[in-house]
Amino acid sequence: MKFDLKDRNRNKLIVILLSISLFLGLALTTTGQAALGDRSLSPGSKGAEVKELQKKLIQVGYQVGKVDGVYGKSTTAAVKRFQKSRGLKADGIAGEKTIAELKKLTGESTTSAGTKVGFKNSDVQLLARCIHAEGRGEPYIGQVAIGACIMNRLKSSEFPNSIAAIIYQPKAFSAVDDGQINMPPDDTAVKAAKEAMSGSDPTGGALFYFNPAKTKNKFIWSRPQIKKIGNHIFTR
Amino acid sequence: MKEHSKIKILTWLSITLFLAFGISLGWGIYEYNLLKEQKTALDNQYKRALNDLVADINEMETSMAKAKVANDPSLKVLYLGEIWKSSDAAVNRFSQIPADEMGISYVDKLVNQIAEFSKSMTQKVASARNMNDNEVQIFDDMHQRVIEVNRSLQNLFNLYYAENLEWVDAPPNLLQRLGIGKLIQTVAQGGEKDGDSKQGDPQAAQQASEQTPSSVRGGLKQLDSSLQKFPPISYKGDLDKHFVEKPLGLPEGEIDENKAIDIARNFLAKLGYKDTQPQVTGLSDRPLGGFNLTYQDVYLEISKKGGVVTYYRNQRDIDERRLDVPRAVEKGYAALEKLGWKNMVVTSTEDLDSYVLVEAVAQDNGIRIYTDKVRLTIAMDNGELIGFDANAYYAFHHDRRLNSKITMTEARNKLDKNFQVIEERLAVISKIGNEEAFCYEFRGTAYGEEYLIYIDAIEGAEVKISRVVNTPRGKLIQ
Repeated sequence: MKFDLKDRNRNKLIVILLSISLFLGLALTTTGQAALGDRSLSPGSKGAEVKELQKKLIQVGYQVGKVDGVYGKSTTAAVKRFQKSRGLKADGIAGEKTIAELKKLTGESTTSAGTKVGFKNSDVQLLARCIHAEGRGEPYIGQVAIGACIMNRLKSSEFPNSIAAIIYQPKAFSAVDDGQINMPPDDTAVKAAKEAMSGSDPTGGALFYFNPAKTKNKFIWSRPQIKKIGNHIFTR
Repeated sequence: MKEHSKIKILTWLSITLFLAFGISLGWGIYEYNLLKEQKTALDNQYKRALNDLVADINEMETSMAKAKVANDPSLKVLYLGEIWKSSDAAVNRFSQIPADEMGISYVDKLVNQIAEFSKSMTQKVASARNMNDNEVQIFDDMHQRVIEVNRSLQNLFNLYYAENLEWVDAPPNLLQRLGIGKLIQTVAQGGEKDGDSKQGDPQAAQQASEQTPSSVRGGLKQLDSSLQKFPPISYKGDLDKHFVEKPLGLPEGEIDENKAIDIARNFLAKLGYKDTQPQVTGLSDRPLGGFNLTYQDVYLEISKKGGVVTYYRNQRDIDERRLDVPRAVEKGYAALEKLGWKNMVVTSTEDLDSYVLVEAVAQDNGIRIYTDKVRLTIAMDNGELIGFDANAYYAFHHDRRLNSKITMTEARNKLDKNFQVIEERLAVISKIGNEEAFCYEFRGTAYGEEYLIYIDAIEGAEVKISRVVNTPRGKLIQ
């Protein structure tokens, strides 16, 4: 191959330009990825740190809407709710203390010697989504009750043996079949899910529930009824 | 000239229409192919589940046949373990096959029972004890049923491949719905395959046996209803603990609605509510049930038998958190005292931000009765008791005669030599089914982990191990 001087100069120029842009790009991404907790974040902040903050808020059950890296209204509201329920000053600013508390609660579980052994909460999100999709608008204990039905199925011999298998069992939940389960749950549903998982059962051992105004399904009406909570009748 | 422009317009119009048609056709073909691809992917998943299910049930049936005859404990344990493994997998696969409606599954029930039974038999045989005559009989009963399930399933499987069965019965089409077309009878109300007329309705069984399933789900429903007609297996295992049929702890006597209101008012007054007017808003039909009452944000359930509060929850909004977890535990003890509960000890907490869940169990002469437990919810704004659940306590509490046969030292000698004991005491824990075990409880560490180890205080066997993990919200006992 043959290069003339002009070509070589151009190549040189390209190389220089490339390295400059690479350097700039790297510099930008590193500043962009400053770790959460390096500085306090407040309404109007933007970037990867805010994204990290939003993800952690969702992980502990405070919904922020879209994880977009913008410290907007809904993020501020979620931070305030988090601060209020953790006994911090509810000013909506993610300062040192707020971020430290958030990091603590989203941390991994450990053994007595301190070895990290994972988060141990894998099913909470799925259960919360199911509760939210099936029972939003119901009173709080009505939402715990839906979670309790799923936990009761886990203990029952007539159902599969994991929360995911129960929720995704074909035709078990209408909100799964029509895709509503993929909506992010709200704070209440996450709480109800945690409470149900820890063993709370306002239904007294129910496996099914239905809205009497909305269903004519013979099977469900034939089940022995236990009680009504909100709009749902809970049955054995 | 006019004519010319007309033709021009028409030409352009037809070109536009043609282009539009072409684009929508292309788009349609693209979407069609995409849908076909996705349908195939989904169908492959279903096929995989069905193939696995058939293989798992077959493996389970074979292992059962072998376990029956195995005489050496080591081999018997191996086959029992195989049954357990394949039954668990089968239940999982079964739930992945498409369905057209929801219901109770008797196939799940049988397979789950077998899994549970083989698990407890594994433990028994491994500790060098033999299965007793009753257990041998149960095992054989289970095996006979599984042979039938296996046969039907393989039959269905062959049918599926030979006739390309649909997954679910097609819903009636428009004409059929209008009553014009012939309605194909679904097989939901099927019967025994082999016309075993001893149980159930012989006519239905006859009818069902004549039908060939028109879909995979239809075939599974047939199988399900054929199982439903078998007499129940006499084994009561760890299953169905979610519903308590015979509560042991409810006081004697029955109450009426007015008495329930009194009890609710009294309960709320003890917690500091003033002049409450709870109203009966519903009844609950279960052995522990009775009257459901509401007052503002408060919901209460009071048992008809014995008239005790089994469930209480105030759903009020919770203000800023001002307490920490140790303070919440103090508040929990205070609330128990106000409500007249004595000899209760807090065993665990779970921090849910605006409130904390606290579990307390009965303690009798230093013996912790883990089965007799109540759950308290403490609001973290003012320490108020906003939740109380005594269902477990009233379900299991009874007078127990607890006499240990082995000593603490003897029990301690049974522990792993690396296990460092931190705490030791006597305890009652729940075992398989609603059975209980009277045990020595040892809390300690080994291999950098914290454990709770239970040694039977009568037989001396190691009966249960729990692993304790520190989560950000409290200790988790796994």
